[in-house]
Amino acid sequence: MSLYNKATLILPVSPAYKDGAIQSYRPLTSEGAFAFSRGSNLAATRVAPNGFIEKGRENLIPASNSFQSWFTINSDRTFNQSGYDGLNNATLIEALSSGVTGGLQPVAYPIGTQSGVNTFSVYAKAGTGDFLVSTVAFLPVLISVYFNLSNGTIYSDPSPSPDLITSKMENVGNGWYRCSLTQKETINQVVISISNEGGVLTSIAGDNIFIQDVQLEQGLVATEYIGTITTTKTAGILEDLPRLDYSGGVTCPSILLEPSRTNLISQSEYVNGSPDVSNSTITSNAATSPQGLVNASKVVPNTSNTFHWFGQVFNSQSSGNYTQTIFAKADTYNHIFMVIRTDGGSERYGVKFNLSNGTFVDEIIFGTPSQTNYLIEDYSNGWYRCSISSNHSSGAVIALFGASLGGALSSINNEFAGDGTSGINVFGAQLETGSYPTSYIPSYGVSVTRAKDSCVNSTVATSTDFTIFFEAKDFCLINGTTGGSYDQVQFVFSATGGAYDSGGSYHIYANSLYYYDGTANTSFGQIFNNQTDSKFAIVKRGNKGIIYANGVKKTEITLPSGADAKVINWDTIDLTQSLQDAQGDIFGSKYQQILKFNSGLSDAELATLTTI
Amino acid sequence: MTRLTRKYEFVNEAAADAAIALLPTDEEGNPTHEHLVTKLGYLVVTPPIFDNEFEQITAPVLSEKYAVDVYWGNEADVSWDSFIVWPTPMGIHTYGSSSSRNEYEAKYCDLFPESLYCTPPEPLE
Repeated sequence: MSLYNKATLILPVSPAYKDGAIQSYRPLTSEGAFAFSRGSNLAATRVAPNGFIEKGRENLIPASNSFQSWFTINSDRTFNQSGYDGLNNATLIEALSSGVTGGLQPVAYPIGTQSGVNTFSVYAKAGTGDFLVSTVAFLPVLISVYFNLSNGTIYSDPSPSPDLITSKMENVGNGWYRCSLTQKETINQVVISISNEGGVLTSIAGDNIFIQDVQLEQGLVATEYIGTITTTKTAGILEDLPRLDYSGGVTCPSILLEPSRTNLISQSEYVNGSPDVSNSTITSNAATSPQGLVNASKVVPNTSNTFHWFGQVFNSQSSGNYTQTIFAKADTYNHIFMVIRTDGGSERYGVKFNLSNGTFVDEIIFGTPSQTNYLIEDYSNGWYRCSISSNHSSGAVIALFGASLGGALSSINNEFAGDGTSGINVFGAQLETGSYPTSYIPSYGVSVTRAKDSCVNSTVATSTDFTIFFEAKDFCLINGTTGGSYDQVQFVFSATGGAYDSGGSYHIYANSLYYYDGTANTSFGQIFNNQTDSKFAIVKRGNKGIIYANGVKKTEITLPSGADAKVINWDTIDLTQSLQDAQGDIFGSKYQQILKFNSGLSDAELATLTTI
Repeated sequence: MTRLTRKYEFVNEAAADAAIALLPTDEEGNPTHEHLVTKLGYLVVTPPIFDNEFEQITAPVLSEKYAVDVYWGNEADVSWDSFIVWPTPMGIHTYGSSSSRNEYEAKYCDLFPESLYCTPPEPLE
């Protein structure tokens, strides 16, 4: 009989999850339900089954295809036209007068005020008119792009708005185009107009075009359309949706559980909008990113024999460890150089990574930075996530990134002369407090905090004997391995959801499992070899406490007199209760399986269960 | 559940820490108000000037007040009301939550209906 048939609780990651809950395969009752909350959608990301990073998304325009509610400007509307998607819900807009603006605008104040980088898109097709004009505005600032629907080209404006980042026409077939403009100014209006000439906002009476499915969203590109009716609408990662993570190309995902973190970098993707760019040229939307969209930037050092970087200064930062991260991919250069300056710049730690093979090349210091670390992780398709960490006491923290030549580092500024055309691709810059990087937090103009994941089951049935099995990874990664003495994990099971050090709870601390009965701890011994182990079993069998990891019995103790009756007093499994390392960092982790048995499995069964 | 984003200012970091320490807890020390505190610090009024090697030439001018954002689980602790401030949504920091942003915007426009943020612009002609 399979050991799975003996389990009373099985939580392999499964399709049985929704916003706010994960349901185990067994039992299909409340005892198998884990309540989940986070409260962040736009700040949360995961690696999706297709291997790309998935974000929370949002269409900020209500009534995104209900143009009868929009304000008309010298124009008329005819509804129920054939659309790009085969549905008969496109709208024909027609100019009523010649020589004036004709178009549509959402009714008064529909989009609020949007700051930061955003993209406005609309599907459109030529009628008797040629040009669709997309305009976003915060008067008196107007940002307009003229899309020629007859030939699929964008009018080349001789004096484009400095706030316009890019525009794009995507041919979606049958004469339809998705027209989008991306800009960086604060806006509170969007307008769709008809024009008969590029660069001139006038129309001829009777000119018409078809439009459908409008979207305004944060970021550098238009993403899959999200239909809205009366309010804005979200998609992708929702606020309390468990994140099933497929990092590393796995087919069986993990539950990604992380502490709260803030991305201090205000423009994580529009790196050309970084407050500080030196001796480098940055082109937005130059390559396909780890998100699977063409929203990565290319960074090209200039020909000056000096430093080449972009980054941001963060004044008056609290003390602690800081980690800066970026996704990078080799292009015509194969290396990235990153520097984190702490204590106002008096301490500096720089690292060079090779992006052609995903390896560390060299590191260098200026001053005496402490608790420095680096990490490079493969994100497929040639992309790597590179990170460096350092400790900070007071003053400013400065995060810098730049394309680089190969070879050992000879100075903290990594001076060299580029050729003015070669570079690397980058995406998703992040600076966070903590000694290790957490998942990517997108930002589009201000810093963003992703709240902590919470995953708790508080209805677990108790039994005289039991076995708890869990498979987990990435408790903490430092220098590519789990880290030194900072290896506590968060797995806690307790009575009535109390704190890990309250009455009736198990917790793992400093590699060892403890049961705390409200007065004293009973140690089960070491459970966690941070270099090798990923499958663990905790067993109460009679008066024995047993721990297995990776097929090996780590310890077997005789529970102290009286303890054997106490250690069954728990009913809650909390995967996210915080335990901190010596530096105060709270750890995240990825759980792949959790099983509970209402019996103490035999040694043979435990060896089988925990063998990789 | 819609969580509340609220923004506060204190006379200094010590005052902020004191207020944080006084947030109510149960007998086991668990917070009775679900919350996430984000210390934004002394906000920059005038940015520092750096040379092109990022060596600081002039120091930044910082606000005299210490800024803290709090992400309340359901309702804000009333004991913090005297420290609350209402920057134009969403200020310099968010919790990446659509529902919390919508709630803050609605509350802001209740308090400041005549503000530019909340006053509908005339349609473009």
